[in-house]
Order: sequence, then C-alpha cells, then structure tokens
Amino acid sequence: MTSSTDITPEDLHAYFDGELTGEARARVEAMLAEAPEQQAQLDDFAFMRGAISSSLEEAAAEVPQARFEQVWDQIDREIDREARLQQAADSEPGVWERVGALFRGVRGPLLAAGAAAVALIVIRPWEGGSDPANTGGMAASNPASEPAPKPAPPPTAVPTPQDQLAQNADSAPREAEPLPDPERNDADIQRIEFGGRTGRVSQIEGTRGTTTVIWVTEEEPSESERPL
Amino acid sequence: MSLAIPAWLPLATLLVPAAAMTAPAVARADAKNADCKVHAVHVVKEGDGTIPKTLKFIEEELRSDQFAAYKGFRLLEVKSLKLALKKPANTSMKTGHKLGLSLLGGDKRLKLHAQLTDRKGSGSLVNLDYTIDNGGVFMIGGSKYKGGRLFFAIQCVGR
Repeated sequence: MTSSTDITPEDLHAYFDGELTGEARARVEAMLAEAPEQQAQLDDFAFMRGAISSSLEEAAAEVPQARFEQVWDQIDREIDREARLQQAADSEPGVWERVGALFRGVRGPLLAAGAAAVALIVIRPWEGGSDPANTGGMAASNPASEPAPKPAPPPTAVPTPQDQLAQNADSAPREAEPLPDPERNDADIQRIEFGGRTGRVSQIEGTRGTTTVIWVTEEEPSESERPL
Repeated sequence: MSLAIPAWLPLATLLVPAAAMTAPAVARADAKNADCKVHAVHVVKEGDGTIPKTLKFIEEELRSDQFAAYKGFRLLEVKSLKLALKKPANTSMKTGHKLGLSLLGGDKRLKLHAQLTDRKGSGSLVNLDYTIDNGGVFMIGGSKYKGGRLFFAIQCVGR
C-alpha cells in the first residue's frame, strides 16, 4: 500500500515545479492519487504561486519601461566594468610598469635628487651673473668669450579659460574648436525637476574633481531599443 | 654696474605661476556675462573605444564606469551661447532638443540655470539650477538617439 509519507517534500516540490520526468513523475502521480493531503498541499502551492506572481506583475506594470532600461544599462555597465578589471588584472605588466616596480622603493629619494638637480641648474647661473669669475658648478662658462645672452622673452601669461574660449571663438570651424581644459568640474545642484519623467543624478570622480551627469529618460520616436 | 639678482628670485619666478596654476579656478568676481559652449555627444555601444580629439576634454568622464557600456563616441555639434546676467539664452540642437541656459550669478562660482526640452519641443526633460567652478563641465543626457544615447556637455566661463 502506498502511503503519503512515501512522497518526500523534495519530490512534491520537484513535481510541482515540473522538474520530474518519466518514471519519477509517474511514481509521484500514482502516490498523489492516494494521498489527498499531499494533493491539498499541491493546491496550496498553486494558490501561493498565483498570488505572488500576480502581485509582482502588478508591481512591474507600475514601473515605467524606461526604468527597466536604466537597470539594463546599469547591468551592462557593471558587466563591462568587471570585464575590464579582469582584463587589467590578467594583462602582462608593460616595460614602464616593470621599470617603475624596480625603482619603487627609491622613487622618493630619486625624485628629490632630480628636483635638487633642476633647482641647481636654474639657480646657479643667476648667482654667477654679476661675477664673471664665478663659474663653478654646472653653469661653468666664460662670459667674455661668449656672445651676450639674448634678452629673455617676455613672460608668457598662463592662458585662462576665458582667454582660451575667446581664442577658440575666433578659430574655425566651430565643430573643430577645442574647449579649454576644465580645471574643476565640481557642481552643486540647488534645484532639479525631471519634467515628470524619470531621471537620476550621478557623479564621476576624476582628476578634475567630481563631474556631475544628469541622466534623463527620453524615448526615440521609433520602437524601444530593448524589448523586454 | 652689475645688478645682483637674489638667489631666491628665479625659484620664486618658477613657484608663483605654478601655485597660480594649481589654485582652483574661480569665477571672476561678480561675473555679469558668461560664454558657454554646448557639445552634443552621441555614444553608442559599438566602436573601438577611440575618443575623438574634439572630445578629449571629457575623455576622463567617457572612460569612466558610467559610460563603460559605450565604445563609440561622436561629436554631433557644438553650440556657443553668450549669457548676460539673468537673461536666458536658448539654442536648438540639430537633434531637435532645445537647451536654455541662464546666468543667475557669479560670485566665486558661476550659478546657472539649465533647461533641456525634448526633441519634440513639447516637454521639459530636466530643469535645474546649479553652481559650478569657472570653466567646469556639467553633463546632461541619456536620451536615446540613433541606437545609442545623447549627451550634452555644458561648459561656461564667466566674464
């Protein structure tokens, strides 16, 4: 005689989920025919599944298509980011990276020595400028036998963004005009409205601070890019 | 007569401009006008990742995770706008979008108002006030366009 205890919970769930095939499925069906309690349990499962899926469908219906696409885009970005990180981790170090690794421990002292050398090169000629006999160090030269140094060119002012923009405005064509390199991009949003559509504010950290990107949602007039 | 130049002078000559270059940019005090440029940028998923020279100023942003899904970058057009204090200026992009900018003030930073209208001209996509350092780049976009997305990079310089 078949007892309902012969049907394990795992069997019941697997049967309900349609995961049993062939002989196993037939065996459970035969046992269920003689086990009304288990059959009632199956009915409960079906009821719960219906309740859950209908509530999820209702919730999904309230989410605009655009939001789904934002989520897809976000997933794409994450996948791509992971792939790039993996690629970077797998790639062989380049020549410069290996050279850099070689000097990693002494990079600070090397830089300091370099800076000191540059300072010496710059300062020493000025010190000896008023005394031709003083020709020590790397600035050694004989002013008497050399032509007088050319007068230094007038100091070039560091171009401001304004100047660069003005300069760009005069050059053609507009499409080819370079913008002045921004120095800092940090922005503070004081008020924002998304015109009834969805939107979000994101920020990109970089060498010029934080760049703000406002993502708005607007469909193309044609069909959606990504059918769900 | 020989003129003695103090040893510290060349060093100071080097350091002062360097310090000036590293100081954060600020808008000119009480800017009454601003020159702005709007770059319309089309990004698509297909491409070799090359960023054209005209978009180098936002290369860092385009290479960031935010844009990691996109491999093709194209400058569609550049528009210039001259802003006077509290007088809105509008421009129509060839994509059909309209962008309005207004200089609300400029003490230490530029205070701007921006409004982007959809390509049909029927509704506002976003409407905002923001402050930003002089010459800083601000980006608005995300609209679908020809198989990709459209972005507008806005950069203003106070005068």
